[in-house]
Amino acid sequence: MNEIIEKMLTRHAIRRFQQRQVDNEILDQILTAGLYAPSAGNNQYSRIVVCQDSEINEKLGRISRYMQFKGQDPKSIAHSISSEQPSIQDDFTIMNGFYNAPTVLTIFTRDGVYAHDDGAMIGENILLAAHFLGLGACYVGRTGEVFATEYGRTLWKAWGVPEDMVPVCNVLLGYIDGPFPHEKPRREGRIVRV
Amino acid sequence: MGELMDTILYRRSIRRFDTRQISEWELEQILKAGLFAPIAGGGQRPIFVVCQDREINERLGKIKRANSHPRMATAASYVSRQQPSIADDPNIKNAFYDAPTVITMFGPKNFLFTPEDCAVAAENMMLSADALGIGSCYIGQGWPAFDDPYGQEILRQWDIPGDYYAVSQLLLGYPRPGDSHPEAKPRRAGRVIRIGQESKGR
Ligand SMILES: Cc1cc2nc3c(=O)[nH]c(=O)nc-3n(C[C@H](O)[C@H](O)[C@H](O)COP(=O)(O)O)c2cc1C
Ligand SMILES: Cc1cc2nc3c(=O)[nH]c(=O)nc-3n(C[C@H](O)[C@H](O)[C@H](O)COP(=O)(O)O)c2cc1C
Repeated sequence: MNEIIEKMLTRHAIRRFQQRQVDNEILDQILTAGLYAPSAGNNQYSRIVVCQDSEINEKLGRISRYMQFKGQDPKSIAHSISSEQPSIQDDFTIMNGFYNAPTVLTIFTRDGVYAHDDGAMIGENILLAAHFLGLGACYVGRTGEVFATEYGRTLWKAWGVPEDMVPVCNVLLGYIDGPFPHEKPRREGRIVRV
Repeated sequence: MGELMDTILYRRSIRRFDTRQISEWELEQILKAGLFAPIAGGGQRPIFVVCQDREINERLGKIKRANSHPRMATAASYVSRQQPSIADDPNIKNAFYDAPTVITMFGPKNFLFTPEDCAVAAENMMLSADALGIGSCYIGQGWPAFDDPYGQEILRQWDIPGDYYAVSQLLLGYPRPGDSHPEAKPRRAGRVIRIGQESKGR
């Protein structure tokens, strides 16, 4: 098997992070990987906001968790995701949906039918680059809802991100703490050959 | 890391394909990379239909082209000169560019993360293809290819669940012999915004 692909298969969502901040040089490489993702019509109309302010990240992470459960009893709606790197759906005592990651990225893209594809591809390049550089990373959705709140809107403005953009996802980055997760089984029957 | 970064920087959308089919072993590796992309929640709902029937691919590509209304390229604004898209060349009648393998990604309609699940899988597959020397192109908006009686018939033949829709297509094929690899596309400046850098507080 091709070595790059082989290594790609060992990427997993990491949610337990060391508190030490990500090395700037490594971060730059990861961001470059994101900027080289394909984009519809080569629009490249996206912004990656890199936030290393722990207070802001924690506030956003709490809102993100809220958007997952919206006041409902987590027990009634959660799915189990990971035991080694528990998500807010596995461990209901985790109150920060950004898992105290020292670096939190927010990816904004051009509004329109391709916004989510464009944003997700940037996110995936970032996850892969982080993995190849020995960092942990996790993709987090619900970003649109988080940035529709008053707090989210205030930050959006303060960060100077154009108003006509769409917040697609967050990517959490940091050095890995806790055990590296096992491969999660992939459901059968997802490939259909015709 | 070196090699992944090379792949990420080197990969370009390929729209001019060799007529040869890609090898089964390469296809398997690419599909596996797609399955091992991140995926929202526990459902793992999206499915990838891999079609190597040239007639079906051509007919669907033509329907997709007929249902697409791209803003056509101008001298100053174009998608690719070396690997022209349907927005660059009005004479291209097949929106799948005669690719020998067309993967249509389907996912549940009523799930917020379906487009993202498909896009991250596609990105893994495109990078894997590049690592193997195979060309690829992502085609956003998958459903217009089926928006016609023939397309509807194909969906029935493929047994696609009624609550699923075609999110996008991924084209795969060897680049056309003699073509040089497309040049790097310059990156637009000012796309990274840094907040609360380490040097400030820590
Ligand atoms: C669109 C999308 C949204 C996701 N949202 C979250 C999230 O909100 N919180 C979280 O902890 N993980 C999230 N994940 C990560 C998935 O839980 C993870 O990718 C999945 O469990 C598969 O595990 P793996 O990435 O380790 O292979 C998301 C992944 C995707 C693709
Ligand atoms: C969401 C999305 C939709 C796309 N749709 C099409 C398409 O319909 N037809 C096409 O030829 N290329 C399509 N592409 C490919 C882009 O045109 C290409 O990625 C972009 O021009 C950048 O060039 P590169 O991939 O060579 O770096 C799409 C890409 C993305 C990310």
